[in-house]
Amino acid sequence: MAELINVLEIMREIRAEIARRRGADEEQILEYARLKLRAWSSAPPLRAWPAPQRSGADWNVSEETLWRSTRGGLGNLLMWVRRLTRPLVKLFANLEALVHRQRAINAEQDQRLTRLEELASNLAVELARLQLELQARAREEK
Amino acid sequence: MRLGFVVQRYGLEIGGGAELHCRWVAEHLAKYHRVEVLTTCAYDYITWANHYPPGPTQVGGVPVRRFRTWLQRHPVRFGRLSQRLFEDGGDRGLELRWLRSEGPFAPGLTRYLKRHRSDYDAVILFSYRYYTTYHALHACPERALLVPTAEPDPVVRLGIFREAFHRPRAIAYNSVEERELIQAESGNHEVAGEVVGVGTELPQQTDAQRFRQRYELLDPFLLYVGRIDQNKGCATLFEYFLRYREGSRRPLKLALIGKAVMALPRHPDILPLGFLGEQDKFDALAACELLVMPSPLESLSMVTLEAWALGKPALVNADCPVLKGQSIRSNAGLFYRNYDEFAACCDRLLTQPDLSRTLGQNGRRYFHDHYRWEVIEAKYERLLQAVQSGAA
Repeated sequence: MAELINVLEIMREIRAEIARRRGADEEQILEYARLKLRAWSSAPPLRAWPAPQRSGADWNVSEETLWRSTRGGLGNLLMWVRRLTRPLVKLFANLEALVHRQRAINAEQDQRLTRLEELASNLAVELARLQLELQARAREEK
Repeated sequence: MRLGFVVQRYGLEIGGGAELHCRWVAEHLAKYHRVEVLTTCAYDYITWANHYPPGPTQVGGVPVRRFRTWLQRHPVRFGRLSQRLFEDGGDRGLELRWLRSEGPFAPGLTRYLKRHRSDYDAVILFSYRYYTTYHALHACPERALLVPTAEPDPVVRLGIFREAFHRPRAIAYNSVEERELIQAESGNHEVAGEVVGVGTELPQQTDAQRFRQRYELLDPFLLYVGRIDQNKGCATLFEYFLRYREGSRRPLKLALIGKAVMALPRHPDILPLGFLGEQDKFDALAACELLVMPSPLESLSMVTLEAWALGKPALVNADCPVLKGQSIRSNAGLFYRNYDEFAACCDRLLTQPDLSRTLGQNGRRYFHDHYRWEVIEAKYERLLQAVQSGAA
């Protein structure tokens, strides 16, 4: 039986069956969904997750951000002084706790935004699918 | 042969990814060759902070030499550099700065390799995108066997890497799709290469019944194994599964094995089981109806190969070229692009036991032909011969 099975053939059958029922194939549905999203200038691409720029840990602030410097040689000196005075600063104000909280909030918001983008994409595709199906049925009824 | 391995991190505690891939290959090739792993003292792959002591040690019976990292990754600077490079583009200088910023910055490793290159007949380098790999490749190109573990992301298009893919004597690709990607970006057709991948350790036996009883999973279930993460396509999987459940009267669960890094829907049919040991994982694979793999980005899904090894069909995301390609080549999995296809594939796999069984048998054969350790070891031997004959 193994030789009789061809997953490409099975997928072709499945897709043809769906296209018959829906009145449109996947490419037509995606094209229609893209048209719907064109008014949204920063629309996420359809089915292209994850969002690579924000995902991962590198984009967020961290406790180290407070003490770091990006000014080359002078920056190293500055960082050394900051490291020396760090315990003293922490005695008067716990800035690291604030950064820690902000980091968690950023991460949570990022997750929500990514999920919303994914949902918006899925909804646009779903809406396009339903509209095309309705049009197909209306044509059949005529 | 005397083999050197270069990898960004190495340790028994490091599970998954190129690091585990490297450890398994090193442990298997150590049966036939004298092996030494050159790596950093880092455990954390984001900061690369030194964790292990530097110098020679042994991990799982394999000699390992660790080198200090001299810079921790600066998240803000690295983020800024990445944005500048990938959005505005940059020259070779900027690409090299980005690579140094990504890390792990362990120049001692490169210096050591330059000085001791003649101690090795071949050096196997894992993950093209790291500082250690790139500079190790430049330190001994005539002995290098590269295992790129590349994914279709913008990094593979950087000029420094397009040029670097021409340097090794041979390349061990994870999949046909990875080879096509790298050859299309770099045009390195002249470099000897083979699709190898990695084997897996299968248990002597599995006990589906024990798993069902232990986790009170008496209904048929789909299984997902891996990090439970939006970036792995899990949010869409939950959406599709719950929608499928609403339209079906047949009892069906979705069991999840792995650490959750996203909020999970509270639903009686979605069962997060947490991180399980290897035996439990294989028992779960033996007990499930099918493995579902919704990730859009995979360079090689080891768990999919494990499901096939146990004769289970897979249902995978068609947007992932590697998973789709493997499903087609093995004739052991179906693939979906949207809910309609997900539902239709589930219907067929759950209601046509002959189809499901045959796909599983095809998977078992595919694993046996391509991913048994004997096969993987033989492929490495061929590539090592190519390196040695080129280096001579």
